[in-house]
Amino acid sequence: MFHLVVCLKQILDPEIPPADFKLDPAAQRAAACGSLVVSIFDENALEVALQLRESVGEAKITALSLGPPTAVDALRKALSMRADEAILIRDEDFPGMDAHGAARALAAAIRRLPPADLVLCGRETGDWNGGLVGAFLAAELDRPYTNFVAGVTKQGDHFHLRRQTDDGWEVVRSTAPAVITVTNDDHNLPRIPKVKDNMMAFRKQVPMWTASDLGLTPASVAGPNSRLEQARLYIPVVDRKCEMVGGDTSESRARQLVERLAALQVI
Amino acid sequence: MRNVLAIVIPAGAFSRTEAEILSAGRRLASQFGAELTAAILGPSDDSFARESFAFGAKSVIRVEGLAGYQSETYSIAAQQAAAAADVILFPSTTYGLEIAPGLGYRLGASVILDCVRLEGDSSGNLTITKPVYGGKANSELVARHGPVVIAMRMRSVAPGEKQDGATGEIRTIPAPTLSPRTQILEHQTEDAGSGPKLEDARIIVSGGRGLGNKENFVHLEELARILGGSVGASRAACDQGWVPATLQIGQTGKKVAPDLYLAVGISGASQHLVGIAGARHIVAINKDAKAPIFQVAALGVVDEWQALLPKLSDALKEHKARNS
Amino acid sequence: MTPTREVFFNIRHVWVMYALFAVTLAIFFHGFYQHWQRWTRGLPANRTDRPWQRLQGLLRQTAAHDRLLKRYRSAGFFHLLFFWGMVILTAGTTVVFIHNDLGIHIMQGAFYLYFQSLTLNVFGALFLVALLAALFQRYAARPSRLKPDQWQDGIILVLLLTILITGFILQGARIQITGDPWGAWSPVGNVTGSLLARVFSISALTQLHRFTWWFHMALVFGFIAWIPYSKLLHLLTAPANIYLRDLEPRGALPLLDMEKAETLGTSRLEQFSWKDLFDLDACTECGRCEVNCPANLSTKPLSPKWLILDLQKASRSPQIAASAPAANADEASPLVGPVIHEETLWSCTTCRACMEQCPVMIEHVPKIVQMRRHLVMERAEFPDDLQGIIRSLEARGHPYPGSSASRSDWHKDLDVHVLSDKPDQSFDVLLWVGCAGAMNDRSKSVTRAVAQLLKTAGVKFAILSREEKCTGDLARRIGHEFLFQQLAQENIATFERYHVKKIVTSCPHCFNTIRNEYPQLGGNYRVVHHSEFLQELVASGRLKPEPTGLGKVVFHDPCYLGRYNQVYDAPRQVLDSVPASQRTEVPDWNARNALCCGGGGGFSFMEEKTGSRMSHNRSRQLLATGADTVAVGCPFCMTMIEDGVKTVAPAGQTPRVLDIAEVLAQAVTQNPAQESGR
Repeated sequence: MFHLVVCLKQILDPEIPPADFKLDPAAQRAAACGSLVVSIFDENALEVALQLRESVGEAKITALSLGPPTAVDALRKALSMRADEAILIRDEDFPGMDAHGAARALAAAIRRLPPADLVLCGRETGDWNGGLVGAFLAAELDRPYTNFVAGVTKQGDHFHLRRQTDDGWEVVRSTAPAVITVTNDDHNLPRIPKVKDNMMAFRKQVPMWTASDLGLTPASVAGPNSRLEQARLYIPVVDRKCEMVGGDTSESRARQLVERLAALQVI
Repeated sequence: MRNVLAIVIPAGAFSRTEAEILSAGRRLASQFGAELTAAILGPSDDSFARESFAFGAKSVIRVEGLAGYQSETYSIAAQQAAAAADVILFPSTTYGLEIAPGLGYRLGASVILDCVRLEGDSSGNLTITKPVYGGKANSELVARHGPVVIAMRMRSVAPGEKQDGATGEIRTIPAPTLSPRTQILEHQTEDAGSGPKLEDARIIVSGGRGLGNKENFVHLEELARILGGSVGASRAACDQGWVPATLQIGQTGKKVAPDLYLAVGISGASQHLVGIAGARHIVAINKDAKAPIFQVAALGVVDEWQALLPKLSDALKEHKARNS
Repeated sequence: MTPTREVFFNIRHVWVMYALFAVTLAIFFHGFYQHWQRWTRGLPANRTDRPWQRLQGLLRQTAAHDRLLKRYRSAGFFHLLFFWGMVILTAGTTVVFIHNDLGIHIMQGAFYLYFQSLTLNVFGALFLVALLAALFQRYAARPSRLKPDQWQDGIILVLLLTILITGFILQGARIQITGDPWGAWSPVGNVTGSLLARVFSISALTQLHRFTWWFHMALVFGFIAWIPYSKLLHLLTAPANIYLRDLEPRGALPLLDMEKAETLGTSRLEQFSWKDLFDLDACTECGRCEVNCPANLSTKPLSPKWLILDLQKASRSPQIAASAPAANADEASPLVGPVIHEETLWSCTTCRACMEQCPVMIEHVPKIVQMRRHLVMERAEFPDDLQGIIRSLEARGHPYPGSSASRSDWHKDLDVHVLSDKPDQSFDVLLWVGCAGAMNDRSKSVTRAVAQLLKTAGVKFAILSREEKCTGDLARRIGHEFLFQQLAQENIATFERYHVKKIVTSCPHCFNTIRNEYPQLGGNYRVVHHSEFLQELVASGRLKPEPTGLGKVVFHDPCYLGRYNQVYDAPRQVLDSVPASQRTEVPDWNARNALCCGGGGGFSFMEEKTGSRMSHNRSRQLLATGADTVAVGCPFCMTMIEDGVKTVAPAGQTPRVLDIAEVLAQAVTQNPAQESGR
């Protein structure tokens, strides 16, 4: 059975108003100052998987998440969008984990599942914006890796990946199995689940795997990035004074604006 | 002593992107008290080597027989070029971001993407500033030992002084031979309208959610034409399908550094501001006086773009006529 | 001699009449039974509780024609005459039955004279005049609400007219033939008789009488038999529908038990309750709902009248009736789409004007919401504009995707009691701010004005600030019952945590939902709208408004405050309390008849893609009063009316649009003896 695995992460809502965003200096990360949501690109990845399943006709979709117990809600969201199964890997078992370690843990989990034809991740998480786990996962599993994919079709034994480039887009042909990271596009906006599916997802069991289930030790999940020291985490202060162009009519405002622009020598 | 390697992946003519990576590399190398090497991955003429020397590389590595981009081939080629390097710098282009992590993995290096600032010291410590939480916070990371692979955010580095005519050592290594598992079938450049590429544009007129629909972008194109600039967009406009994704400016989109960035109907969400942090003058037009964009703009007009833009076009045309 | 008349005078073979009556009844009951079968296909509903209250309402609408006389009064008056004409004449026939067939001789003496003769004549004549007036209305005056012309409408009127005329002919002929000494007690019949006598001889009259009697009987029996097969059905279903009306608070949409429900919303006729199906057969096609519908008036594809009639047609269509329930819930609905177009459902602002005007108390809005529930919860299909809003409500508890505003912005520099900061400090009332009040710039000014007034009056109030979540009104109105219940339960938990008892809010949608709908989920609080609260403060002297040069002011009634909760006076009293203000009204379209601004039912967040703008229509009405200030009491109305006024105001006329709290705040802060508090 054609099998797609989508990795998703639950993060602090990236749309918290700046006025409410706070850091926790002791923990060296953001404070619990908002609600928890699925990282947006991970939702796009799930949507791409769902669309691929629709085009192929039949496939199993497994949602995988490495996180705290609350990440079950993120997995339930995936189930309500019609992923078939969801599995949580407890991250409390991996205190010193870095991006490499996360990839190792996910890879270990993927090896326990039926063979995955395609692994989909978001291009970066909305919290640490690392952009690494997808690529490291591909390296761990020794699979071809393509980034910034917006849509996937299956052509025989290969995948045709439509991906964004700096000046347009490309179609990359990849052998299967493969690992990709997904970016947003107006064709892969995550679908809103039917409420019936929401309610079904609530009742579904989400198994939880631990470090020992995956045969991992804390040491094995501390990769080269754990050598890095976070010396500082701070909210940059933007101190700019905006000159508001006055005037009673749009016409007078437009004239004033042109004058100011000329004074700045930009026109 | 930490050797610095700048990765250059030619895409058309030598551009600001390459200049940035070389300049960042040169600065870091001199902070380390070391020398900069540049590796050119991909077919190119002599101009790339010449420019690399001009921007401070002391030696250049070329890869013989490397065809157009293929991720695995380029990644192995980069690994071979990086044999003696401690810190490897990549540009945050699609290809750069695709091969940098894999390279780091194989080298056992620490990998950090989307960095905006690097500071080295003579003991070889490297301090890296990387924006996180969608640009709401900055993380300062220190790498003291071990190889490091870094991707620099576009337009976060000002290109340094050029020394035309500088020269240095050129080494050639053979292209790796392997059976690639991916292949580019088709490459399309999106017609982003008239005007220079966004990353290179001096003037950008950009539209957001306030534009309301696809058709209204015509007004921005008109304005860009008068100003001799390019049209960009916020993520909201791209997500709606009003403009192609290549026009998207922001955290997950282009990073631009124009002299003038005119934001029309853009509220100024933090992830958009990330893309325009390098702009010299930001001018915002928005009907909402409390829009966050006004906090980073130098000039602001509280007005409806529908009313203001036609008048602005007229005023600019007059100004041009008077001053030509 | 005792005054009376011979029953069946001049008629032979009377048994034929009884036989034909039996046939008539058979036809009648057959037709009625078919309706009964259709009604009982629906889901259960309890509409037989509180019988005395139900009966009172029934009498008010039938005997007194309360609603029909409140608007389109002349038509209402005619129909009142129809009603009483029918009642009296039917009573008259019943008297004959009792007298002749039951053998209880009541039809004689004074009763015969005063009731059976005079009263019946007077009401018969009035009935006749009313019928002529109705014919004139329908075919000469032609109001749009009666369109389109259907042959059945004209025939009913002509049939009744003919029945009455033939009735008077019968009476007149009998009086002439028998030389009835009490003929004058039936004045119309009497005159008719005299006129007939000038043309016909007595023997001719005798023939005429006989013929006319059978003809009259045929018409009447035809009428009775026709009842179940035409809109005459309303003779039975209208009073019944009024009796069976919904006695729950108006603003409470039906609760869906998410756990037990087999279907989420209505996609097939039998998923409506039996009462919803019964509604469809009470409709008299009067069109009052249609001409008061803001969507219809702005040429959107919604007519409440045709919504009901299309559903009625579907319920009578053998095709749709016979269609088996879907084996798989993903199967297409035979109703939503084919019968009622999705666009129709998404054109409704839930303003309730249709239900307010309907003389037979048909419930249009709950049907629309139930079908929206199917679209949203079972098909996940809804206007694109709502996608981002639903996601934002789910993730962030507010309907403003992409907003970087925080609920705490408006009070950053004010000294207000935020419950999470000081949970143990006591307070008398919770000021519920709502999403617009906290995050919409224009509405934030209103919130500040309210807070300011409360402080000035020395009210001990607290706010939830960032702990507020959307009340869920928007979610419920667009049919996302699941999301509504989720949001509501979270808010109720927060209220319980802080032991909230009394709530004041400046948003009528929040007001309605917390007051009337939260009790469905276990949340019971005393909730008032800020207009009521402020009116009490003024009345008790805790706020003393001074003249502000307010000038001419007109109040625009919010649908969810006025029609839904019948708060019409408090906001007006607040405005009147500002000395030297001149309050005016929109003639005919105010209070319960106020035209919706177009902001409800999700419209504040959706673009109007068809027709003209509802806000422009209402703004024109408000501007036509010549007021300098338009006062509103709702953040949606504020947005809509401000936009409308700006767009349609004639050059040189720029009235201000202010919330009543802002009007009052201006009048109170001007008082130097009070703290300005700014």
